[in-house]
Amino acid sequence: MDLMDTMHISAAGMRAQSERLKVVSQNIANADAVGTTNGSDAPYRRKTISFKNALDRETGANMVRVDKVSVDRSDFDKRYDPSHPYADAQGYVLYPNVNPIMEMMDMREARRGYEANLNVIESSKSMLTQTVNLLR
Amino acid sequence: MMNNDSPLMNMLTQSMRYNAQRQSVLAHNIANADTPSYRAMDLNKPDFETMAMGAASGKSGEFRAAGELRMTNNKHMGGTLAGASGFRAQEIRDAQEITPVGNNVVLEQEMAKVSDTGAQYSISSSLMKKFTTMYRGAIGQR
Repeated sequence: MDLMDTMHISAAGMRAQSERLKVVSQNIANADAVGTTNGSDAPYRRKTISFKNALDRETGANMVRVDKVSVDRSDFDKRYDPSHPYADAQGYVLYPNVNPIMEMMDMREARRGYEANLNVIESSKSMLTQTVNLLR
Repeated sequence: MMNNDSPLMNMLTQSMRYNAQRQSVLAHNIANADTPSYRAMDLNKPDFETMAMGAASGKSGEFRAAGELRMTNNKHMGGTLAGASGFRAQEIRDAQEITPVGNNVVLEQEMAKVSDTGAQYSISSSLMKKFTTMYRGAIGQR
């Protein structure tokens, strides 16, 4: 049944996008989890998420799924803030490599993807309803 | 007699089947709009002209994708012809943008296709309803 599969596929898409939103919220929440420059206490590292297309044995259709959640290996942000308790002798503190603008953009994109999947479900639902109405 | 051999009924069934299957392919594309190296797919467009001509000349409406092989002789082998069940999905060639991770799904384009599919399905199912109403009228039911 194609239309039922459609709904399952879109639901998988929505699940993946909400998982992505979870990662984004973790990044934003931890944007100020600072660390020391000497490495005794590391700041929060930005997490990234990627999707993959894998076969779902139950429905026999390919479905999107979270591939892996990994960390962003880019450099930490070194900021001059001598009054900070974590500041080193030169007055520097390590901030997480989270860029709020990038996270916001990621959030928007996840939301857009979620909405698109939702629209497909709605469209499929109306198609199914029309089919059922043929019996009336 | 109303049965599945009726050319119009057959055509409508096929068209609904095509649109339902296409919806599933499009759902796939949209769900994978952020999957690295995923390529958007679409179903082969059916050959509406041949189908309509076939239906007009009384043959049961044949529903094949444009450019698909067909058996015109008894000695031809069936091979991997997509039977009644399937229209073949293939990667779209006119990709408009490809992201750095190799994904060419354009969400807007896919949404447009989804609404198009919904509309086509709606046309087919309304026609089918009208058609059955006609038969009901003929056998004396309202």
